[in-house]
Amino acid sequence: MAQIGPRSKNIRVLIVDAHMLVRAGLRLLIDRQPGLAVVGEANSATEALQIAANEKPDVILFEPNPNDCNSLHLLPDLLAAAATARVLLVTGIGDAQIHQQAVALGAMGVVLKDQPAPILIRAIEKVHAGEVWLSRTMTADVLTRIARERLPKPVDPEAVKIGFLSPREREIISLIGQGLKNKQIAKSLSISEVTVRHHLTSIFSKLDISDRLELIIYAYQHGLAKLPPE
Amino acid sequence: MTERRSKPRLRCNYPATVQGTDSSATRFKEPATLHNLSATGLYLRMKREIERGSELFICFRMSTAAQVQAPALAIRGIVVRTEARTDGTCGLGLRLVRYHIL
Repeated sequence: MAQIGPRSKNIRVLIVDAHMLVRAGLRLLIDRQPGLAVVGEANSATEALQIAANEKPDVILFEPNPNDCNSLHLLPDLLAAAATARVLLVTGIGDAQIHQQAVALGAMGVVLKDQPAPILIRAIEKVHAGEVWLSRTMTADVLTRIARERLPKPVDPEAVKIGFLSPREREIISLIGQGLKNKQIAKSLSISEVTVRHHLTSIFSKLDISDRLELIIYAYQHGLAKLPPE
Repeated sequence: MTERRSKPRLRCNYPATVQGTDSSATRFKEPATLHNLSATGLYLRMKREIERGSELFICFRMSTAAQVQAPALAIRGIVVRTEARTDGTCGLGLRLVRYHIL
């Protein structure tokens, strides 16, 4: 498709839309605005990537293909091809989930096709200036998602306790899981029975366990000892 | 429903031997099946009817495989819950009083 317009101080816009009439309409609208210039039109992913790489537009107007749920996945590639570009979703799809997905993939704004033309011009200028063009609801959704992603993941308290066990203590737990008594464990590990008892005291303390039966069950449940076949 | 038990509980299916006195005051020793076990209690099923509050002695090995090393236990417990089951068995919940690893 056509790559038009010289590099200038205008906001350089690439239109990515499968519909020729829509592209033509957008071009007419944008080209007659002072400070804006369309530098290319694309009706396919390949074409869009090629023009984005060659022209390095400032703003990419992107219409996701309503018949292709994966069309939004072109956004990261577009942004890789034109690293300084900002993507504005121009769509007739009102589905907030699609908008959220587009934002997650790098879009800086969403303009619905049923909105008046001056809104689109304003949105192009705003995203070019580094702002976002999102409804208040969408902004709240995005902020909430970011905040949730940054929350520390819950830590398994048992995994923390188990992490404090020494390799020797793990060996002893494994042998207890086989039903061995302290004397047998001592013999098996070539240590004294007193040492086994010391290790057991430490194990009980680290795992917050009160007796041997509880330790056996705990060991089976947390993979510290192999549960014998029934 | 939230889990109220504080101790880890092992679901199992171990054959056990139970000794005690039944609801008709007859002393008995007969087989049972242990269905779960924790450091404070257990649940088993047997054919005989037992009253709440009875004291039972239970012996079992934590595996049915003969060649495998596994803990064997002797347990003294008090029956704290009984349930008559549709298959004719009696389900018993016991609180552990004492146990010994054999």
